[in-house]
Amino acid sequence: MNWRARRPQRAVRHVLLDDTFIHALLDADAAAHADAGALYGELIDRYENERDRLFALSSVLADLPAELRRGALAPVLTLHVAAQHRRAAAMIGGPLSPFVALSLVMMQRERIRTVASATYEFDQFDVEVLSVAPRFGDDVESISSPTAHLSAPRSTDG
Amino acid sequence: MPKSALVLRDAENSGLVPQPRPTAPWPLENVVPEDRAYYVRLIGFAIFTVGYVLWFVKKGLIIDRISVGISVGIFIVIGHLGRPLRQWGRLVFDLLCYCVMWLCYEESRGWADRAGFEWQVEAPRNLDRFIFFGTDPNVWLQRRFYNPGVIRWYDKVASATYFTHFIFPVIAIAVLWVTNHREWVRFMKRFASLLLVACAMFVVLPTVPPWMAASRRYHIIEPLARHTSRGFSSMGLKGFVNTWQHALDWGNAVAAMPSLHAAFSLFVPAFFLPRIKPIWLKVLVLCFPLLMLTSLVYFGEHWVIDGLAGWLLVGLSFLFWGWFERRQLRVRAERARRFITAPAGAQG
Repeated sequence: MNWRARRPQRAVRHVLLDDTFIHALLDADAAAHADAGALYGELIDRYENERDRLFALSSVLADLPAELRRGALAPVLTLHVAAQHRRAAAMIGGPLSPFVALSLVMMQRERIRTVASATYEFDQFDVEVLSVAPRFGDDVESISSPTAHLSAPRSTDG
Repeated sequence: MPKSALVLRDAENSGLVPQPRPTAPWPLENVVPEDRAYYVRLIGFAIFTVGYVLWFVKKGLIIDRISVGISVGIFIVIGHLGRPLRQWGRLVFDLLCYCVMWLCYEESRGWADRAGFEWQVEAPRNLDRFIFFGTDPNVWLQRRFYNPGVIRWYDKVASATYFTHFIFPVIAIAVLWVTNHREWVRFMKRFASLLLVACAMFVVLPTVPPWMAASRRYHIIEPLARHTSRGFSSMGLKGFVNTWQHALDWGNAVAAMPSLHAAFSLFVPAFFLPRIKPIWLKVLVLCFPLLMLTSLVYFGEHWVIDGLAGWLLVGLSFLFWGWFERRQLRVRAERARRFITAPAGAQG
């Protein structure tokens, strides 16, 4: 008799929605808007089934109107950015953007290992990337992390 | 120079140009500067643990509310060392709520005295007899297993099980408080609801426990020995037993229904059950409430029906908050979906 669990436990995945993803989602003119909407729809389905928990940085959410925060981003929990997180982000060298550096710090401190993003900058790190970054050339086969579980919709914008 | 200062991508390229994924992606812990306060917290916890164990060995376990509050407070403060100010502010608010909860619990003893509801003496006994086909389970267990002159292994097991009531919930609360605030909130919502309903029942349904029902005052069942602390004393933990004995003096003696001992013994395992993977371990963990109720009945502290009522309250608390939290998820998801499906012009 197998005394181990018979069905796999549903681990709740923590997903950080980075600033590029949120802007792509909320800006109807953004190149990745349609893809961001499709991916967000999948994330919301998983959120409702308690498979995903969605997060965004307070520094990103603070700039948004309250009705968007209560409506479009109602499922998103706030990760409060403090001075110590900004200091840690500033210590990360290399050509990373400050937003990505801050996201990395918060992901590490809050043990988040999945990010939804519209940039490629997370691809070089050992995290699951749900990418909606626009594709610029046909020669690029795949621009999403191979570890991503969700289908990462691609923009058809050329 | 941090490791992350190494060139991570071609600096000539702009941010949106796709880069081939490196063969070995950078682990975050190699990129993000480490949180030095983490080690301070670790050392703090080590010192706390040593201090707690020394106290336990010399003076016994801490069970009075103020001492428990102080020890939990120290633990939580250690867990917050080096954390952002906002988290300290949240901690102060949490502590206030926590203190109000326990103060209300303590005050309910006074309310029970003043309210003057009729004491339930025969009803719980009759219910127990109904469940056990005319037998008094307290009397039955003591006649078969209790020997005044000998402390057997099961006396020690039962006694130790009884006193876990003062440890397990506190440890669970403190650890969740430090490690996962969201889970702490989930835990405390259920816990506070359980306490609230239990306190209301203590006021409106004061119930005489079996040891009192067996005393000369009532004598509605055969005499019972209240030998709860015997097993624990025999293990050399006399200090703890003395504190417990003292606590009984100012406690509400007719707060038998529902049994919080039985309730908490189910509550803590039930909360962590989804995180336990092997089925055999789940089953083992769920045996603990059964062991607790058996111990309570054996010691004459509670009727069986008290324990069942405690379990029922735990179930109702979990059901209510589970429903409420799922409803919140649905409502929030629906709000977000409305935004996605709205025409582009209507967004934002």
